[in-house]
Amino acid sequence: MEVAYIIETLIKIVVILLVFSALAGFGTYFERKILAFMQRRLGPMHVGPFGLLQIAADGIKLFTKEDIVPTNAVGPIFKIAPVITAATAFMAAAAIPFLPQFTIFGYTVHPIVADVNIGILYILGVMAVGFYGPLLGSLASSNKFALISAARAASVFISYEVVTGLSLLAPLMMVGSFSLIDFNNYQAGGIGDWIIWSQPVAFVLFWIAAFAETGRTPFHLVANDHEIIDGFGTEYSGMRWGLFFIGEYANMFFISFVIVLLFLGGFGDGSVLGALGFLLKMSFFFFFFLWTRAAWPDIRPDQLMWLCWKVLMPLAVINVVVTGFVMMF
Amino acid sequence: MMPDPVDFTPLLEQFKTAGLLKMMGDTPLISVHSNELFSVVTFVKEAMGFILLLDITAVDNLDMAHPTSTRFELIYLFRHKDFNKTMALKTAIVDPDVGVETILPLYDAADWLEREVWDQYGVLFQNHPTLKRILNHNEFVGHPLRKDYEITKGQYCTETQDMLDEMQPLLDARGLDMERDELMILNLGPSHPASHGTIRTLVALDGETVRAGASEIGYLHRGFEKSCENHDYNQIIPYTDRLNYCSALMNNIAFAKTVEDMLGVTLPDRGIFIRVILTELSRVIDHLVCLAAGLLDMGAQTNYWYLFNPRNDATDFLSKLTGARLTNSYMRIGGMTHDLYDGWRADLDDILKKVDSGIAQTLTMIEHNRIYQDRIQNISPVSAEQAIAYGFTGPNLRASGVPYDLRFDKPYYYYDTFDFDLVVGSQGDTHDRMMVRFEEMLQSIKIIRQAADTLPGGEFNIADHRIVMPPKTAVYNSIEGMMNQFKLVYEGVKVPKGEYYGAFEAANGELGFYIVSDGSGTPYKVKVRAPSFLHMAAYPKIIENYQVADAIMTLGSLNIIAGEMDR
Amino acid sequence: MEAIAFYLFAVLTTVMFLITVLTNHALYALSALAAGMIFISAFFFLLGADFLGAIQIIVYTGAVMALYAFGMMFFDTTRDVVESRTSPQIIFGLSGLAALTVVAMFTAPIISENITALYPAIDGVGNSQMVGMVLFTKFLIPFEVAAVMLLVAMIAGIVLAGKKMDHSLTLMKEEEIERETNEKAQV
Repeated sequence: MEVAYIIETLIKIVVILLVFSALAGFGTYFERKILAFMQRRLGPMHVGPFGLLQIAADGIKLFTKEDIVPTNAVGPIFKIAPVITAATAFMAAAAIPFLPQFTIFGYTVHPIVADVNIGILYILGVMAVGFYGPLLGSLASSNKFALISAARAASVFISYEVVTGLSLLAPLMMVGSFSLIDFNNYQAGGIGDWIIWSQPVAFVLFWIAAFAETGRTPFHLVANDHEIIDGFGTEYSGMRWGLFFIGEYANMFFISFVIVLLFLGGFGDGSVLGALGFLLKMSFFFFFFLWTRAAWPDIRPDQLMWLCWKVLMPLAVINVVVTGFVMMF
Repeated sequence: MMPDPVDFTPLLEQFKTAGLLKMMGDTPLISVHSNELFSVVTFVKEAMGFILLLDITAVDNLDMAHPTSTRFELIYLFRHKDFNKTMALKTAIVDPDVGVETILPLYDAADWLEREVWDQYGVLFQNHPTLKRILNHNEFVGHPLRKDYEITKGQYCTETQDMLDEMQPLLDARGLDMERDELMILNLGPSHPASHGTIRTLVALDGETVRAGASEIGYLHRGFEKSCENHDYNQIIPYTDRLNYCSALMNNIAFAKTVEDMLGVTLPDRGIFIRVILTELSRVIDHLVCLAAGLLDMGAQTNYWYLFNPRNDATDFLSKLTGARLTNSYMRIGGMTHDLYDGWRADLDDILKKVDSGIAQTLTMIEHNRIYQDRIQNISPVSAEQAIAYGFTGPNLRASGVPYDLRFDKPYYYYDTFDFDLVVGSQGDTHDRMMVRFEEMLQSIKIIRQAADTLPGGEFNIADHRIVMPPKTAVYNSIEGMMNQFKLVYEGVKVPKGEYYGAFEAANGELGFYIVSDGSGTPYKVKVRAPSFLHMAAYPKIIENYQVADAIMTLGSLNIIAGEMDR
Repeated sequence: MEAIAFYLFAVLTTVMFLITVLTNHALYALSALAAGMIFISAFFFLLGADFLGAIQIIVYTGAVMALYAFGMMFFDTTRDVVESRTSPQIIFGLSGLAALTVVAMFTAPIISENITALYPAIDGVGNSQMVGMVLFTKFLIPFEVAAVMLLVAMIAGIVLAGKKMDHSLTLMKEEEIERETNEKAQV
């Protein structure tokens, strides 16, 4: 192993960590602003110009708040749970190519930490592990609302993991690789080559499942404030709670990247235009997460299960079968 | 069209001990022997058709100038199935520790009403299954509404009850066992994001399904009725603001109207029209708050602002008119503090336009939204019979398909001359409860527009200065004015001796004031018939076998206002 | 480098599974089990079997997740579970012996000869493709049998969770069954 390779990887890791931690912060700002404009109000306005420094204020608040571990909580697990959420969110980023490769000072940079040939599986697996954060946090909190949240987390995770996997199977069959770079290259020919045109059902299913995996409205059940206070977060305070938050927002960004890479051509041929388009497409999906939150109410847990097992999963299976037949003949 | 007077002769023929005491307006007050109470009430319900139990309360005669036969008397108020007739029964309680037979088997509504009487007056109801404190804390000693309980005597109560004494019989009745059926006891409230106000509901959960529920209220109990016995009539008006704080003006008006009826005076037309405009505006505000918060309970955030922004403008208008946004205290006995300000019409029209568009936009967002419909349809339906048995009134009763609205059934304040529709639902589920409110707002706006268009000029207060403060010029320049002011400030409005039940169609249902006057400027007793109290009593029953998420929505759609419920 | 990683993960995995076995606390046990499963996947990654590594994470986190769901329902996860062990020494000794025997049985023939890969990795062919080739050639029949078994399990699950769970013909009296069939015939 070359030293240069290790240094490059380390730099990439640090850059991704820094950029996405900051983006998670900005994500909350975007969310508040976008929601505010949709709801005819101004959102944060008082800290800094247009409330831009609100993130800093929030950060200071979270960091300086007293960190409380409830008496009956299971201390070690209670403490480690938020770290799992945040860590796995960033671990998933290792297999995502954030930009096409580019050359700087004569050195070619691949903006991906590890181009493993099973990238998609890896991301799915790590995101699955991410669900342990809320789950362990809830169970360790010794709080009944958290317990309900844990039950919801377990059932949502088990159900939607199935939909995610099955909906991805059809495009995987077409591309014949688990690597996100291969997916990108498969669609590099232009808009006409995008997988969304050949696999619209898979695209919609994966998109719906993405809402469940990130726990966003209308599937915001795991921490639905109106019913179960803050679910797994009920007993958390300060930065531990903040880590859950960072994990959630980082996940929203990463899943937006993944959707674009899988179905919407990624960064295309790797030109500057392609890279810009990539970021634009990603932003749209991030924006869509916020848009649905403004537009739709939440559904009930049993309705979520109904949707998963009686609608989405059969559709995904049929989609796989149809894709198989089309590919065979 | 006046309704036929109540024909109570069959009752008198059937029960020889019963006798007509007097007429309270057109409500007959019939005295009944306490031993016969249960059979009389059965007769009243089954043979005479008084199916809606309005209220149960007691009077402590300890301080009465003329001694009565017994210290405590119970008052039962009923409404006929035609909804335009009311009747009252009065029974003398020989010994409060023996009390009377409970009427719970006849009316589900009697459950909490009897508990409240026991809590406040210490009159026992035999065979009542859970006769325990409801408004006061479980550690409280004594019965605060007894005349010998000092108003200044506070008590420190610290321990919360675990409510299992109420939960266990419920579980037993359903054949459930905490251990065997793996139920989980969960406290929804008192400080839960979705318990509008401080309300505690203890639920036994099977998974996320509510198997049994019991509610504890009284967290906002401030002794409204005790305070009323120590203030004169006009001083009570600010207290009424705090009953249903979402539509404070309506409570002002309902109370003032009841006292005016006791005095036998009516406002000049301009005063009445102003009251109608403000009543309906308050109804709109109340429904806006209910729907905005109710929709927020399922995460429909944006609708909150679509509905709350116009509500904010409406409270700005009220602030401009009355000087306060929420607790207006604008009414007085015999009128109101001052006339509408110049340019009110333009402001009002502007608000109505905004409310209209807010409702339209919200409906666009939710009406054909599958998620929304799935969340609220067929959730906690209440049948018409059940709703009446629970003592529901107002939008919640109308949602069940019962066309009862005092503005139609017993019109006051020229409501029969306005062109508007009675809104009814069909299922009585959460969907209907919400949609009835949406439509009622539109009808209220129609009334406001008509009333504002035809607002007559002239005086808005009654001319009698024994009731209404004389103008300041008269106070400073004439001896009569001076005397009037002096008497009104020192003694208050003198209301003729007697008792009266005044009903008013408030935003949440029938808001009634049962007032006993001893002829002085201070009421001897005031009892509020708060619609939310009875809605809340039914709440733990109707959420059974629905999920936690549904229970939250149901609470929102019932529009429980802790201020009027806990008093 | 690889040796360091191997020993690190070996120690971590062993510790995690030790915690799983030794603790009285349901929550600790289950968390440690999940962590151990994830650490095992590190070995696959070290061996270049990326596909199996990722599958290890997905399957075992998923499977353990189900365990969690059950664990929550049966235990108060924040308390220690009281175990009734009469003589822990015997249990420990017996299980240790059994484990040793198993290890000896399987390693004895292998140690004697040189270890060679049955399906050596081919350069340029992806991990998942290789797994696929093996599965659909040499192990086709076990693979299909496993698939059928899963199908059976799925249908059984649906039947068990179905609505008529409490409707059991074996528990009904003859007349009841007869009446029911008559009713159905009439309809």
